[in-house]
Amino acid sequence: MALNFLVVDDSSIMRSMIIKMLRLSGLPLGEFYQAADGVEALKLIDDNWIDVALVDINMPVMNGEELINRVRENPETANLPIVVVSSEASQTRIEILRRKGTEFVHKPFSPGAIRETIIAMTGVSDEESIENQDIQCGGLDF
Amino acid sequence: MKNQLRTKIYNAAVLTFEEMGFMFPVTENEAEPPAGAPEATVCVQFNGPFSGGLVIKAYGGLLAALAANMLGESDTPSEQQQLDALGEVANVICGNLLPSVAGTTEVFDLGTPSRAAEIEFAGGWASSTDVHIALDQGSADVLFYIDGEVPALKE
Repeated sequence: MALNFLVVDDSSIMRSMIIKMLRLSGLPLGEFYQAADGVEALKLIDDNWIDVALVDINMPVMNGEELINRVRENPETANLPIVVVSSEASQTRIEILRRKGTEFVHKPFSPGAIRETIIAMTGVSDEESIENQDIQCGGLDF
Repeated sequence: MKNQLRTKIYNAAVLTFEEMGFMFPVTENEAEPPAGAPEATVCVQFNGPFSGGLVIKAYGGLLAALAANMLGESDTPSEQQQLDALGEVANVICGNLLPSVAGTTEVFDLGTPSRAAEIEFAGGWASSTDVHIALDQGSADVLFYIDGEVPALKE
């Protein structure tokens, strides 16, 4: 099953980097959708089938925490797997986000960290991902 | 205490440049800052148990190389992409540094990275600590400003 991803971050370069990491992760990839804030993200979620949303926290217009609240309040999207990708390192705030049913990947991150988190959240089997393939980036093994 | 803080800043910055920018320090410790004006300066301000900002100054080709590495593209990134990349690195360094200074239970709000001139910070915050890192693709000054005294560091 190929997964459709929504990447929500106000930094275009960070969105590109997350997509690059997803491509390196070996996960089965479908479509990529991108949003610069929570408002754009909600529209994309309404209009498209999204399997996993990767969401930054600090964003203008509508931040990641409010986006998560809106998604969880809507019965049609309440179960959407959401991975928070953030430089946030306060355990207090991370625990609050986890209680909203999200997982957390800390910046800086590796393709392996994203892969493991998404496999755990979606239940996509390891066999469906590109298993046993040596994934390399910049000479580094992941 | 200042030396401990310098070590924390250095470690957070090196980790971020390595993992986000695929750039590596060429010396084991801090280097001497280069003469001349930086290519760009960005700042991330924060508020929480204490307030302040983290500033990065890029030198020697760091700005373009960082964005190209983050994007994984051989074409020269646009000026906006270059500043965006430096700003993201500042954001991640700051996000990683604050818990190591204040403890992991404290909550800080980080602002959006912005382009900045040093003059804006000269007298704005009471204390600052800076480190210079020589990387294999340029170099960077990382300055950590706190509004008030440097707090007791958490292990």
